Amino acid sequence: MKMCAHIFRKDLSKLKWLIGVWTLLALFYFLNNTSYFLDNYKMQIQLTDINSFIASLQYLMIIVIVPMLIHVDALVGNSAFWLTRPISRKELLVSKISFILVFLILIPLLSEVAVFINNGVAVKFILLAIPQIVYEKLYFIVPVFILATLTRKFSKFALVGIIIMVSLFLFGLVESFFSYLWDIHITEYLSNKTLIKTDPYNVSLEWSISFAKMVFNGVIGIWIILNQFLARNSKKTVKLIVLGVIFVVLINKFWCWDILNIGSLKPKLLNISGSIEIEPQIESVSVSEGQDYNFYKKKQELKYKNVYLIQDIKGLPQAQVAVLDKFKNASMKYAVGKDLTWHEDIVGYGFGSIYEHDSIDAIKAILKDTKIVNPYNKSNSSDILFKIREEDYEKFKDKKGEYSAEGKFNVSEYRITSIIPLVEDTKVWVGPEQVVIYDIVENSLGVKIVLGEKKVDLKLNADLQKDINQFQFYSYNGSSQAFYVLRNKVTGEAYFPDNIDDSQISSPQYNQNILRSRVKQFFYKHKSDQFFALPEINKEWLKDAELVRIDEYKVGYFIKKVRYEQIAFNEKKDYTEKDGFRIYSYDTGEKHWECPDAEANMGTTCVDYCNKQTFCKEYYKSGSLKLEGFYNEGTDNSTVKEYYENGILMYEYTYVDGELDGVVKKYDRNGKLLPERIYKKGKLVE
Amino acid sequence: MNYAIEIQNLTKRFGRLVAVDGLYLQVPQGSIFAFLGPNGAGKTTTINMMMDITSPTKGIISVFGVDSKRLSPKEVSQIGYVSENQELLEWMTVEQLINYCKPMYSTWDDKFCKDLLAQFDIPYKQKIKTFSRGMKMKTALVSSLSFRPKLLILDEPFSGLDPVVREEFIDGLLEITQNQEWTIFISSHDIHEVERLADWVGIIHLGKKRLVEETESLQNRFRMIEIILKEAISEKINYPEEWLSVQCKDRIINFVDSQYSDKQTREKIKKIFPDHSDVSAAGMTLREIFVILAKQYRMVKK
Repeated sequence: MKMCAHIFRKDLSKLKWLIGVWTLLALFYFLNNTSYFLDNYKMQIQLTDINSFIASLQYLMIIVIVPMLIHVDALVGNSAFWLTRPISRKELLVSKISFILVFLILIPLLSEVAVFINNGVAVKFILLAIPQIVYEKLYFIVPVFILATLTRKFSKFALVGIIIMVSLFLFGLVESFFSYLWDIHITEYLSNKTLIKTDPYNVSLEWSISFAKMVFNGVIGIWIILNQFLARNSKKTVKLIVLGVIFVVLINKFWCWDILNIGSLKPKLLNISGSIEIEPQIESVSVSEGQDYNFYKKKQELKYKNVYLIQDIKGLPQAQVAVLDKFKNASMKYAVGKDLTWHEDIVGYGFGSIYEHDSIDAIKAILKDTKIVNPYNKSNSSDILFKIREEDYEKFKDKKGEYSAEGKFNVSEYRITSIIPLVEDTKVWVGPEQVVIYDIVENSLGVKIVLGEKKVDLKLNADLQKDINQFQFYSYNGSSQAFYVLRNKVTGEAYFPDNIDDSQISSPQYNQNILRSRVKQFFYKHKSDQFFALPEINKEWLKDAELVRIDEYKVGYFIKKVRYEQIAFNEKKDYTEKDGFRIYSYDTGEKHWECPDAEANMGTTCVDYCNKQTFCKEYYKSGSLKLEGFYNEGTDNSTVKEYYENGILMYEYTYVDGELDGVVKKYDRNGKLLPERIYKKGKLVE
Repeated sequence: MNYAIEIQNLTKRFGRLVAVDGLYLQVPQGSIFAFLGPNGAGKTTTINMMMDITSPTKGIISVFGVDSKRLSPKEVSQIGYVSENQELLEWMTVEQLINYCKPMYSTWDDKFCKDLLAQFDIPYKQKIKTFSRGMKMKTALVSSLSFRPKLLILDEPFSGLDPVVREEFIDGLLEITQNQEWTIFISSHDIHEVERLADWVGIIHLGKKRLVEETESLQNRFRMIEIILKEAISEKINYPEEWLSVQCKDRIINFVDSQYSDKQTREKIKKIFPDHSDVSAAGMTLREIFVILAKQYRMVKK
């Protein structure tokens, strides 16, 4: 024990600066996640900005600290100082593990616990969270630790690490290729033989697999470390690692024993109605031109025009079912003039998935009588379905042709699996997964809910645009996907976790949206136009709120054969022009918004073209005015007003040089003015 | 006789390569044992097995009567080890290294340590990584002597040292060991380095033991003989086995007698060369003996 402490002190002396930085990072994490800086709004914003950077830095530091700790008393080679000194291998192992536990586990754990305590989380929930925090840390540290014990110097550690990463990547490629074959051809066969897990509801089996992997990884990890320290047998260690990887792959593929036997905890299904009828019919088909694409095949440059296929499927009960169209095994023939020509290389690339009916429609449908206040769906963008050679494209473009395709479509059902009252300390079992409302905290920045054993932190704050991104609040549970929705029972408002990502920003649909008016520029910059649509969520609102969990289950698939005839490119026109104005409509025909007719392109605004007489108007589907923007003649300013659907003013704000600037007034649904906020050049200052 | 180290049938294989091949060796307590052999003979591998740095494929090494694979910190704390391959904790200063090593040994002698540092002129506050190779070796020696080990193992300690430092090192070692009852096991590929120190010599070649003997006995046994004949010989002569490296040039014959005894050697000479005019026998240094033996082993191998 004395010797362990002696080695520990020596290691600390060697790594004192790194440990100092590490401790500072932990302290920073604590400050960043507590209310210490709440009064300093700017500071809070800045801290949030670099939060992800700090997390990366912590991982990087583990990659540096752990090898240095091990290499100072290297286990491989014959030249390490400790080998000829009266230090036993057990003492060395204990001292190294102690060092990792004290500095790399305990310090961040203390900072996490301090965050909990600071936010008033109950002790019993802190105790529940501790094992998971430790497990998550070890999950990254242990592989680094093992690799360090197999190398003598950091350069070798880094080199071997890179080789392993590349190998895993290549292994993943090969594995995914064989998985593809496996999924397509073998799984279905084996499912009839009841060998492979086939029950989509069998969450228990999924948990059993995870549990088996965890136990196996733990046992083999301990075995490897003990072997490497006590026997210093690197060859055997490497063999054990290879064996471990093989076993994990085998467990993933073949494990079919429900050792946890918690099958009785299958989620209860609530609010389910209707039946699944799968009789898809093609209502309409349109073909639109995509981007040019250069493809090299055998050094020959092939120029393609990408073509998107957009289809509407009628006849599916989308209230409960979302159809995820996957054109696996799709084939297509297209006509060039009168000839029906098959092009192998055309179907060779880009096939796979083409179009995904957004699941949000199905989820909205099962949340009956509930208005989702942020119903901003993922855009229904389509992937490339097929490509046409440039030389064929010209022939093709003006001629109608005939196409056929065959695809396998997954069908998913969305079900409300639990409704959880939003009351602190509420604990609900959803299958084997426990959801706990740890905490509801209200502060000057808004409301924060901490829930789940994973300590998911929801910051409900309409003022922090960045926090909107944190509403990507879903978790994967085996093969199914779970969503949470915050619903207020009294007002019927619900907040849906949205997924706002870069691909959405660049989608054509979104680009059109952001061109609608100058006032929308602000939203573009902040990657969301939902900013002002958020309800005023505060503790008051949350009093009547509940957390609705919705799970996705794959319930089957169907084969669809489609045959399109007489298809030609549509002339692209999704607006009408009237009296010098462009009028855009909702899909259902109602007027959506209008602005002066202009050749508005990306980066320009209708204001620039409107001869200083502009105004942009946006309407609700009901026809009532939603938004209007006025250009202030003689200045570069524009004023914007937004309205509730009942006509009451919701917002008033001003733009200067395309930036939100000046006082932002917000009114509640009764017309009462809420606290004003002041912006300067797009940034909140008060 | 008590032995500090006993090796029985020691074998170490690295794949197909047999680095040590059935080695038997006994190192008497209190001796300074020179373990000699050319590069690649298996000296360092043997020492590594002695210190349980690597495991033998076969055989046993006992250190102070304990199997080397079961050496506990208590036994290791009686062994000092200095090697050309050993890495010091170079990020430390000498002071830090001494402070790190000191609590490991109950027999640590502060005064002795200070004396050694002064004797080797090692700067106490300087970082080891700034030292020359010679200084690092001297630092390693201090850290391995200060606890007055019962057994000191030196693996090629002079390798890479310039002559001045080497002499200093040897002088220091001689001075220290004169007053201590220590067993020193020193390996080298050059006998000249250990000639002044060793009272026992062991020679290993291609992993096999070739010779183990007290230095004095060895030097008494070997003589460089020169015979002057009256007339040059023309016929082929079968020389005794113990006559090594026989060379004839006109009337002069030179060889090394590995079993020299004044009376017996002269009788053999008289029998083979009855018509000789003069015989002279000169003593040999260990280095000369080592070279002759090494040549002999190579010839045997061929």
